[in-house]
Amino acid sequence: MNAIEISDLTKSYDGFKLDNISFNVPQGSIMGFIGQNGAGKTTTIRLLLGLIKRDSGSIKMLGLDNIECENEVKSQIAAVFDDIPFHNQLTAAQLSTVLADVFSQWDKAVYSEYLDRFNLPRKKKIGQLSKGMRMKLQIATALSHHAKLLIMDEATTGLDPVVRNEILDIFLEYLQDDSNSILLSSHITSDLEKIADCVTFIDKGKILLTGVKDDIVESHAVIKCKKSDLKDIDKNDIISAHVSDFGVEALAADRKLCEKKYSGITIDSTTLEEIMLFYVRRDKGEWTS
Amino acid sequence: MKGMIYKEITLSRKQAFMTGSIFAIFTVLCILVRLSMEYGNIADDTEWRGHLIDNLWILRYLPLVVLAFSYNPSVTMYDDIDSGFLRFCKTTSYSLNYLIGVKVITLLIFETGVFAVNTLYLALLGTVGGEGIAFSSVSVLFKMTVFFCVINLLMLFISTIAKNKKAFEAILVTAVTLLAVAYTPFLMGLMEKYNGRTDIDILDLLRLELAPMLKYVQPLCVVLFVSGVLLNIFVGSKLLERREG
Repeated sequence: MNAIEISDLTKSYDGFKLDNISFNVPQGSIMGFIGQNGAGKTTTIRLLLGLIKRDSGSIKMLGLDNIECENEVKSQIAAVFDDIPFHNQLTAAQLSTVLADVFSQWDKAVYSEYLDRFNLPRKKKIGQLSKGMRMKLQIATALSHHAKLLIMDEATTGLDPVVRNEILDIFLEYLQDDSNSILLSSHITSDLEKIADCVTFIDKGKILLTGVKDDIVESHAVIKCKKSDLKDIDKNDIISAHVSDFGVEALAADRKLCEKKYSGITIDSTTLEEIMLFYVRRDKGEWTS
Repeated sequence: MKGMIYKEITLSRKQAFMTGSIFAIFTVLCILVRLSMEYGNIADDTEWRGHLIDNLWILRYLPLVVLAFSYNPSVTMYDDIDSGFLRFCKTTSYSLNYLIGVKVITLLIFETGVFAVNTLYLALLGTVGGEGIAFSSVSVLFKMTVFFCVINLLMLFISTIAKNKKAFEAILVTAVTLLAVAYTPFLMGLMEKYNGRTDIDILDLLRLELAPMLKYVQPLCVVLFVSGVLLNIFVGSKLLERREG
């Protein structure tokens, strides 16, 4: 079963179009949703959360249409934004009283445990908390009402590596329950390398890649060669090539094929970050830094 | 609902404290004036005392004007919008009807408190002056409280329409300006009619002239109040839902 099923989703703005995108988030997994700024990640997430209306297409979350069964869906999901959506004047303790009204399944005991675990002060106003503490508080609230699906938009952006690691560990712990799933949008690919099971890569409103992260990373490769050797490489085999004084690095979409075809050339494994970089520049073909 | 009302009260604490303090200063000053009218300097000035006796309503109801805005739901609405809480609520199954409903209930709680405090103040003022507390004064106080409720409800509704705080303020300024423009011919007519009289005389005459219309104030206030509540809960919440976040 899929936690999220997006089919032919379209949304047009002035100057931007989310173009017929489709992808699934399998239940029990973390899906990393990557793309550069303005690629369409936030628009997709807003559509999932029902904050904006789609032009066409369908979205199913936990097996239900997100518009037709809006309340049922929303009672089982939790959204985490890049900044805390609570009033600066409130404290963590006061927030619990407020959220007990918002969520029918609000669990004060679980929330209290998370506050202790994250060392979050109960009586300090939210406005006085650091960025990392605010994010931890937001995650504590998201995990305290037994949500089955976490949807996070740039939740780890702007956090120091220690806090980011701590948060990523919590996500992995949350996924110990097989019925829980996470969609994590980020442009920090190193985080997703660590924890994501699947990855969806969006650029200019279109899905370029979607699938199991390891399959995507393993099927791609970086071809390293001299400038003079570039002409021997079939343009159809590469996404784009980075040409520098030191030589050429080109991203190949089919590693096995390239290993067979170009036996005399160095073919290295790649990372999500490299894949993203080369795909974003795919229109240029060859590019220099 | 308890938690959300708690949120509204917490967010309004500063404003309530500020208006409460101003109210306290006003009440002390008004009571001092009333004491002076009976036992102090003003008691010796018959003419001035007479004017003040005729216009005791200023002393009676002026502090209410301050206290009536101790809770302003449009302010907490913008707190919800600016902090991202409105967007957060939209990602949950929490109904925006409730969000508005809580603001209306909190307004009622505050205004009930305002009414009670002002009734006590009226009783104190009446005791100091020796005239006691008249039912008619309490009735006027009640109507005024309902009127301020209506103003607050109207402001809440505008906050659901206006895109941001600036637009909200622009709508309010435009509304007040339009009212002032509409009021000008009426004021000019009065000045012509009561040419040469003092301001206090004009107020007295105006009060007499408007007396027959006062019987419509109460039903009008009730109608406006009920309309304001319904407008906010059913139309305001829909407008908030449409607001893209």
